[in-house]
Amino acid sequence: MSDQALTRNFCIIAHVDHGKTTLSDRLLQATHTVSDRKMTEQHLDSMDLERERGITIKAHPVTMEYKAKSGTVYRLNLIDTPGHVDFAYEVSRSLSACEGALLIVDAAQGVEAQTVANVHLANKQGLKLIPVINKIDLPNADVETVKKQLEDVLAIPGDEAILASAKAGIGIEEILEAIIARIPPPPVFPDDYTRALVFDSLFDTYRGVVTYVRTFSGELKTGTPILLMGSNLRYDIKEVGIFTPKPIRTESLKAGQVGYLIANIKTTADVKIGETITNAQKPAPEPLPGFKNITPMVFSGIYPIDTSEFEQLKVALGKLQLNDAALTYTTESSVALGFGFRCGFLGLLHMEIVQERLRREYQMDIIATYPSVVYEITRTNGEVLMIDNPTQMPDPSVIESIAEPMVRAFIMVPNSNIGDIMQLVMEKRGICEHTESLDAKRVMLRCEIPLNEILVDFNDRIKSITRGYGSMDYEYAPYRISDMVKMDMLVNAEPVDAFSCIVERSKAEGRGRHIAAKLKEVIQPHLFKIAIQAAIGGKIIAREDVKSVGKNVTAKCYGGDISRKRKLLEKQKEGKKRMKSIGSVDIPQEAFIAVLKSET
Amino acid sequence: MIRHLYVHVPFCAKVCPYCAFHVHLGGAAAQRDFVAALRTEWQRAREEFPLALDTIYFGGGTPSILSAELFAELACEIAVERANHPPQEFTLEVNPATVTEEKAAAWRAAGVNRISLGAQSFDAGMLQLLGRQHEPADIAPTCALLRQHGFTNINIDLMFALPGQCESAWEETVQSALACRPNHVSAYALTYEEDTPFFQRLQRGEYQQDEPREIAMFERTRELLGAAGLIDYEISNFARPGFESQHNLAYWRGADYLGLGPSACSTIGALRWKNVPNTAAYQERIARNESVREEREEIDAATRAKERIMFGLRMREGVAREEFLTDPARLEKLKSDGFALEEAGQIRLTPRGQLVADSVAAIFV
Ligand SMILES: Nc1nc2c(ncn2[C@@H]2O[C@H](COP(=O)(O)OP(=O)(O)OP(=O)(O)O)[C@@H](O)[C@H]2O)c(=O)[nH]1
Ligand code: SF4
Ligand SMILES: [Mg+2]
Repeated sequence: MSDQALTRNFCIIAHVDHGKTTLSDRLLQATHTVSDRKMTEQHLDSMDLERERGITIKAHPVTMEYKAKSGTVYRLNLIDTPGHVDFAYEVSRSLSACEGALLIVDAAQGVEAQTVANVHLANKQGLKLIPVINKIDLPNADVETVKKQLEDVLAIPGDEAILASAKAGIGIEEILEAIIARIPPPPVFPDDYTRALVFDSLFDTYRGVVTYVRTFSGELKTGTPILLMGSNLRYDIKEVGIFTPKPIRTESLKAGQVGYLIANIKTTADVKIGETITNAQKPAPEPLPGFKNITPMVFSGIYPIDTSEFEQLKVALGKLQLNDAALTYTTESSVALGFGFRCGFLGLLHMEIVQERLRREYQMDIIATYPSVVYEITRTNGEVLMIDNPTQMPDPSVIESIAEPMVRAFIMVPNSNIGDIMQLVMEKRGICEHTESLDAKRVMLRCEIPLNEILVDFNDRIKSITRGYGSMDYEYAPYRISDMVKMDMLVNAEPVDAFSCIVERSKAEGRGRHIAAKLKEVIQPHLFKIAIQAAIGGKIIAREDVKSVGKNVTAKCYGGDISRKRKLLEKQKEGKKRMKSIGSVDIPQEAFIAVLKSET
Repeated sequence: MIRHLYVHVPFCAKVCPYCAFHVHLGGAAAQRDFVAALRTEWQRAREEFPLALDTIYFGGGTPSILSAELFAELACEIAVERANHPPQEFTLEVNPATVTEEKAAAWRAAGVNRISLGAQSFDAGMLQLLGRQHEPADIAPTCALLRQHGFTNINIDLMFALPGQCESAWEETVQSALACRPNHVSAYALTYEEDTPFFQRLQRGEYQQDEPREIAMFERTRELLGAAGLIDYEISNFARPGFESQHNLAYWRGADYLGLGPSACSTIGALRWKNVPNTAAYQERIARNESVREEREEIDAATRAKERIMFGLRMREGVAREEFLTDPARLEKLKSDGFALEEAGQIRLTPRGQLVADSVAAIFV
């Protein structure tokens, strides 16, 4: 049999936490790819952050050798993918590197919103699905119901499902046999042009950019001159190899294989996900389908707390970007915060990850401003501009209209929570477009909601309303014109730019009040009264006062211990250095965090 | 020339739960060893520094706990110095209920001419809460006994803003203190010092601070004592004119002073240090002929200036306007906001400014 006939490329798709990574662990063990001794839990989640949060952020490919019951040895390429919506595009590229997918469904949770979304994606790519009902060891596992859901919600025959427990190691061999029997081998192209799909990349300090590829036709070899068909960049391959899951150098990557290549590519931004690599001397006539430039959807300002650390922050962001091409940043400055960066993210999780990595891996003390989406502003003279920062907002008198990005959200909830969820959607200025019963117990709501409304706590609210049984997935939808206004926060009549935000008019007052109350909690009393106000244009819509210091006087200085008293005062003053002084008011760092965390 | 001497006696009959000084219990033997060490420290110091003592202050702790005999021994040692330069003010901190005829006579003989009496409160409940050893009824007789022995210059220490203390109880305490006809009253708001049981109780929520009530007490204190002719020459200190504590004024005006005993501080020229705040270590080092000084600190001109503002603003006499040369704008703001005022070239705090003296001082440190 040809190499291609003995190869299977597949990925694992599931709703968050249904057990993708744990199942991969079992497959690695069953195929002796990783010895039991070396096995760690969540083996493929190699980043600290991934392990700690129990989520997969980057795609993790691995090549396994499996000796089937028939005695034939197959090469199985597995790609573990991130499950979170922020990374939906990456997931779709990982899917297109495969011919089939294991669809994992948690036996206790059943089919959830991302299960549905992922199945749709997989179907679009024409992947063969193998349903796996996982976690059957759980006492509340309900296999029959899940089978019924597979049929009702996803039109997948329930008897195709393999029953498994990734934790207890049940059903693993059956899954491996099914991969061979049910997933087709890589297709054979009628020509011999080289075509390889980039589905991820990472920056390695020693080796430079490591590009993750799936070869569809032709061959990649050390020395091959290559052309990236999207960016038109040319390189010579320095090394190719496969993941075991450690990268291991090989002779070549033949058609149908999954592995990596190293060329003298400088940053991951040069090899975009979805890019097609071909032989520069004999380029393929057409690139592989599906390439698109991903653009950040959420923006936030990131500033060093210590203004002298600006350069360090810049270096840290640069290093992060080497590995995370979706992250964008440009310098910006704020009256309140000094010099920093406007950063663009795929979504909120992506934003949190970047901030956490800055803090943890680069030991940066940072302040992040309230996240903003990108607004489309039409001026009265017809000019259109896109803004991602409230400070760029033109004067209202020259604005014809403001449009905001929307998402189409798919929310799957138990019947008994429909009312509350609809209420939540309305509160978030959303519209329910469609309601569909999935089975006797659950419905799927399809809603249009402004992206800015789901930025902070939407998913958490769904989870708490449904006691964990609800789930959500979303895709981006066209912009919609809304009545947006810029709200400023004034501290003793001075606007603090870092607290400004763009909100829908009807929500401004509530939000203004909320921020004012939060600021009141964290701003220490001064010698004078401090007014905290929320304002739209010149109109004050909310106000809180921080009372002045009532009494602050040490009773006694004893025994000539003058230094002690002076040092106490010096300490008070030292604390103030870590604050931002706006006008004559000292605003502590927590204020910026409190405002960021506050949602109404 | 050093004109001011402080002596720290670290013994107390019982340690009060709000106290953050270096104090501990100590019987007759411990006291004897301590006095011996202190005498050695004194002998060394007088060889090291030129002295002409205007004020002597025995604090602690409870220096009145020392037996008449030990006190006389110590005072004799220091008396050598006083022979040709008798100090104007020699203060002894005294706890009510530690005074006997014998001790009072010994103090008088040694030259003590000012008594600072740690009365703290005239309310039995409050004294108990403060963990004090005496009862309200002990205070007036103690004063009487002291007067019999010729002590006419008496200060009474009082504390307010105590947990659960109401304004009227505080007024009664002030009135009872005035009935003892002191020349001087120190009225301190309770400070919750870290590492004290009081602080922990506050943290646990067993005690609450009540700012409006503290402010009311603070203001009422000024009224009551002022009406009795005791002028607030410093935020917490009130005296009949001419009876201000010269020793404390010296600290606040930035004079040099020498401190003896464990935890005592000294400032001499550009140097400041603190003696090791541990009696055993203090005695050991004295025995081994080693230095007992720690936390040495260089006090440059800028620091001295800061300190003069910090302490000067707390006094009625204020600080010369020239001292604020580096920060005239801030000073003007304080004046226009009503926290400070200027009189004959001197800057001092207004009553409103006194209440926030630390916040004001923090601007200039
Ligand atoms: N009881 C039981 N628990 C399981 C089983 N498989 C996975 N889990 C647990 O389910 C949780 C989620 O498993 P993961 O493998 O991290 O899930 P994932 O799908 O990779 O999650 P994301 O990468 O965040 O999408 C972990 O706590 C696992 O230990 C199983 O078969 N039985
Ligand atoms: S008597 Fe004075 S020095 Fe002694 S423990 Fe009580 S407060 Fe402290
Ligand atoms: Mg995972």
